[in-house]
Amino acid sequence: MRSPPQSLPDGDPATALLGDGATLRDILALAGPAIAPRLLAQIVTDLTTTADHLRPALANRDWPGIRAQSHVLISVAGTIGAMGLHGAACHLNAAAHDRDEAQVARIAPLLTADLARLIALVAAQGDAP
Amino acid sequence: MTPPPLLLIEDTPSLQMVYRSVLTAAGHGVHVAGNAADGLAAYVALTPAVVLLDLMLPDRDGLDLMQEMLALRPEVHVIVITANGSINKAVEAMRAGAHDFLVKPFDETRFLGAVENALSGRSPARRAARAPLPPPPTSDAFIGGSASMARIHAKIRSVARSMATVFITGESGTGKELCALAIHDNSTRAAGPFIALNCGAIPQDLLESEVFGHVKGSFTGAISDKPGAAAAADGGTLFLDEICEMAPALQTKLLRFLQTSTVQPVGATRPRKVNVRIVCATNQNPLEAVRRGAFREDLYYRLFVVPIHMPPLRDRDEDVIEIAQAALHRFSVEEGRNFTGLSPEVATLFRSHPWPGNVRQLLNVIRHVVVLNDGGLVTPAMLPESMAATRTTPPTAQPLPDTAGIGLDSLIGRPLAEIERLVIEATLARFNGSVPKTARALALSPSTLYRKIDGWRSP
Repeated sequence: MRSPPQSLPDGDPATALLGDGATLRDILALAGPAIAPRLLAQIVTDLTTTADHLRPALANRDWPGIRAQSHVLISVAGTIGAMGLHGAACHLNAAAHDRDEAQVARIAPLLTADLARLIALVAAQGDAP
Repeated sequence: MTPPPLLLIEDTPSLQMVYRSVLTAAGHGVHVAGNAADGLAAYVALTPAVVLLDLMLPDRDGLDLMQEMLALRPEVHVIVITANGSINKAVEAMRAGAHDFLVKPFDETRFLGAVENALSGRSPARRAARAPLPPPPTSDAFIGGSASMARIHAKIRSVARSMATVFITGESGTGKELCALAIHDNSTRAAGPFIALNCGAIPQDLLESEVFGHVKGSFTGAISDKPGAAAAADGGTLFLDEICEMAPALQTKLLRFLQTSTVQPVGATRPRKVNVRIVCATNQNPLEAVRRGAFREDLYYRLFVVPIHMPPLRDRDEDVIEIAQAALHRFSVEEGRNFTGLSPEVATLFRSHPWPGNVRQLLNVIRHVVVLNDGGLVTPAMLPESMAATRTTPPTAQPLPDTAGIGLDSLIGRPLAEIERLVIEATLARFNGSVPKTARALALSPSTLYRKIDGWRSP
C-alpha cells in the first residue's frame, strides 16, 4: 500500500487543488451553459455538507461517519479533478476502515484545510463573471 | 417507441447532475433516484433496461439492493459504481450478478462504454432469461458426477450470462479452454465469435499485433491490415490462455483495453470501440505471479473477478472411471474396435494414478489402448509403458529413516528441505499414504505434494 501524503500540494491554490482545471471545465462544458452554474453551486453545497459532517465525525472518531464522508469526498473531489484531495480522501477512508488513529490524526488536519480551500475556490468560480 | 430509460441510483446530487449530463448528451434517457427506496420503486415502475447503482447509499447497502432487483428481474443489467478503495465490494457485486462495475472518480469514456455495452447486450439477455438454461457441457473434461465438477457446472451456469470477467486456473490438461467455451456457449453471446489466444505460444513481439491488430505498413512484414483477436471477438468472447505469460508492456495495454473497451491496432491513429467479454486462464498461481512482479496487480484485480478453479483429475473421485469409459466407447466407434469396458485391475490403477497430465493424459492412454488392441476388457497389459512404472508403486516415495517420533531438537541443524520431507513423510504415514488428505492437512495443493514426492524419487 502507498504511504499517505505527508502534505498536500503547495503553491498556487488553483494549481494545487484543481490541477490545470481542465477536468472541472470539461464537466461544466458537458453540462452546458444552462446547467453549469447550478452544477457548480451543487458541487459547493455537496463539498460544504461533507465538510460539515466530516468535522464532528473526525472529532469523535466516528469511524462509520468518517468512512461515509470520505467516500463522498473521494467521488466528488475526483470527479472535478481535485486529485490531491481525492488521494487524501482515499487514505482517510482506508485509515477509517482500519480504525488507524495515528493515520487519521496525520491526514485529517491537512485534508480539512484543503477541503475548505477547495470549497472557496469552486465557489469563486461560480461567482466569476 | 421510446426505449426504457436508464435508472441511476446515486445519493450525491452533484454526481447525479454530472452523470445525467453525460448520459443525456449521449442520447440516453435517464431517471435519477437519490436513495435505495426511491430507486427500488422506480425500478419496479419503469422497468429500466440498465441500472447504474452506487454501492454506498444512505438508506441501504447497494449490494443488497442489487440482489433484490435481480431477484425481481434477472435479465436487467446492473452496473455498480464504487469509489476507489472499495474494489472488494465491486468484486463481490460482480460475483453476485452485476453486469459491470465502474470505479470513481468518473471517467466519461469508461462510463459511456459500460452503458453502451450493457444496452447492446440487453435483448439477447431477455430472450435467454425466458429460455430454459442449457444443459452443462458434455466434453470429456466435463464428464463426471463428482462434487467438485458439480460446483464447476453450477458456477458456469451462474456466471455465463453476466459480463463479468472469468479467471480460470488449473493444471495443464484439466479443461480450462473447454470451461471458457462452456461459459461462452451458455452466455447471451453464444451466437458471437469465441476467439482463443494462447499468450504463451506467440512470440512477445508479435503478441500485441495478434491481440490488438495492426495496419498495413506499421512495421516490416505488415503487408495488410489485420484486425487482431480483440476486434475479431467483437460481440463475443476473447479467451486469453496462459495470461501470466504476457509481457508487462502488453499487460498495460490490456488493462487500458479493459478500462475503455477500445482497441488501437499497431500503427492506427484512432481507437475503435469493441464489445468483448474476457475470459482468461493460467496454469500458474496468478497471485504468486503478482508477488513476483511478473503480473500487474491492477490487471490481476481487473481480471480476477469470478475465479473458477478446474480441479485436477486425481481430486475428482470416480470421474476418472466415467471419463475413461466414455472415451473408450467413443474411440472404439471411431477406430472400429469392440471394447466392452475396464477390467477391475485397470479401474483400481486408474483410481490411484496421480494423472499429472490430467484428462488430456487419460484420453491419450485410452486412445493408445484402442489403437493398439482389438477389443474386450481393457487389461493392465494393454496400458502404455509409461503407466507400467506406476502400476505397483503407490504415489509415495520411500520414507526417510527415523521419521517416527521426530522432536524439535532433532530437527535443529538439519537442512530445511530435509525437515520439509520429514514432516511430509510423517503426515503421509499418519493418513495411510493418502496424498489428498496429507495435502489438506499441510494446506498444500495435492499437485504440489505429488511434485515434491516425484522430486524425491528422481536420481
